[in-house]
Amino acid sequence: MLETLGYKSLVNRYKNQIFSYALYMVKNRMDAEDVSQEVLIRLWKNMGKFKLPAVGSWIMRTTHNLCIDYLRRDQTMKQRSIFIDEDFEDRIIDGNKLNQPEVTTLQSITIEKIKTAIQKLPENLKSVFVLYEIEGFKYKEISDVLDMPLNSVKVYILRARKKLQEELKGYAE
Amino acid sequence: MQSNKNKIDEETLDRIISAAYKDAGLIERLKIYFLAKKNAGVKSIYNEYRTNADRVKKIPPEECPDSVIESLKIKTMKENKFFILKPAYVFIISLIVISTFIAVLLYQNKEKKPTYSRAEIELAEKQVKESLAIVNRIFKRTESLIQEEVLPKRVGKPIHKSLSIINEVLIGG
Amino acid sequence: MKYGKFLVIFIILFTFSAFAQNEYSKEPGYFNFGDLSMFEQGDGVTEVFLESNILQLVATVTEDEEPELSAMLNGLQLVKVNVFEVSDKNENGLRNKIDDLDKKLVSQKWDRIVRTKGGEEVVNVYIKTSGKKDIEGLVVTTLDKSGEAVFVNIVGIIDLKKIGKLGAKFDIPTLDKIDKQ
Repeated sequence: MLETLGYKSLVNRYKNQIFSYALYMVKNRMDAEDVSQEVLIRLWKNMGKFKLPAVGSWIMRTTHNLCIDYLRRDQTMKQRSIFIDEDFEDRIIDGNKLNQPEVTTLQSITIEKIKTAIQKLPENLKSVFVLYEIEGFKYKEISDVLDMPLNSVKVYILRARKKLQEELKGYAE
Repeated sequence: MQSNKNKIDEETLDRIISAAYKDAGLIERLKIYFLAKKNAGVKSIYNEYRTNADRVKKIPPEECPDSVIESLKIKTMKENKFFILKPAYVFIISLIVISTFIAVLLYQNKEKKPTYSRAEIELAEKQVKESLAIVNRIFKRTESLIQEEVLPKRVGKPIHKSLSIINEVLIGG
Repeated sequence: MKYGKFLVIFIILFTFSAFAQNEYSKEPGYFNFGDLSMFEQGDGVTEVFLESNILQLVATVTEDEEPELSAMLNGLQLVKVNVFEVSDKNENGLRNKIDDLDKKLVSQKWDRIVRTKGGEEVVNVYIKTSGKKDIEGLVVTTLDKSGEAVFVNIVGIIDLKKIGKLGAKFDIPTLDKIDKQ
């Protein structure tokens, strides 16, 4: 019973992070859902096998590894990238329908563009950037998740920011 | 920006980016701020990065679709409803079991009166009488002790009075 | 989590009531001598431990033949007697024990009505009185170097005169030792 309650608590806490990270990495909603589900199934199977403080790192590491597996397995992922952009845009615009349309649209486009630009980052930079800037992980946690030296994490974040800056050159407000 | 970049070395650029993304400490950010005030190139770069950093921060979190959790329930938590209700049920059932157990104990405790055989009662009677006899012997011995050992050493009314009190009280006159 | 806390509190409360102490130990006239087993040696040990249940039964049985005894037993909660043979091995221990018990009894506000000390014999008699000046407890500790050490605690409504009288009545020379239970 305690294990079940613990599992439910972890699911509620990490489900959005898992899905968000997977979405940026695999660039495909359906695959991101599959990855998320697979991560949560593995979490259930491994309940009790890890110490609580390390569970966040374990979850994100599993998510990252599954994303890499998906990317390597499915070559057609790249062909879906345009489809994803539309997907993002539609969702964001739909979500903001009730607000002022003019301001909302401008904001939506900006956010959508930012997301697209992040998605276009090289895999190694993107993973670090998303974990740090979007998911709010710390350097040490990212180092654990990606099995990467701490200094490499800092360097990759810096490079990702520079790359993103280049991508977003044309969209200054 | 390219020409600006050439004027500003890579290390300074890294510092500007860190300050723009608010990674740097307060003192470092103040340094960059004062540097930006003196150098237009620094200011320009800082503002560009700062703009994109703010955009990144505004990205709303992705929410994991409910369908992922629902299908997860089907796959791993078939008795999910039972799990949700379980804590309350377990508590109530435990309460009933423990109450019953303790009620039986209490009932047994109250109702439990040892039954003695005739032989045991006769033995107890004998023991009671012997106990009283022991006490009597002690009282009698006390009287004689005082008379034989204490009195010869001390002569006086108080002692004598004590003796008669003891005599009356303990021996019964 | 909150269910767990409620359960624990519930169990504790009920456990206390279910496993309440014996009645006599709550009586003011009760006194715990502690562990006396160290003084046991060979067969020279006598122990009497009669709680109110058995005392009531004896009172019932002796009602016709010994009405005074019966009446006295009706008011008692406990009769406890320990007798040890005194030897070179245990004499000092017994004396020290009696001294310790004396301090303890005095500190627990028992009235010491008899105290003799010195030589070969030690006799201490203590009583516990209630607000109404009834005697609710009697403790006797004695040591005879050439004989026995005795520890007595009688709990209940005590009439010392009657105890003395009855004791004299039952102090039949043929009843030297009580059978060890």
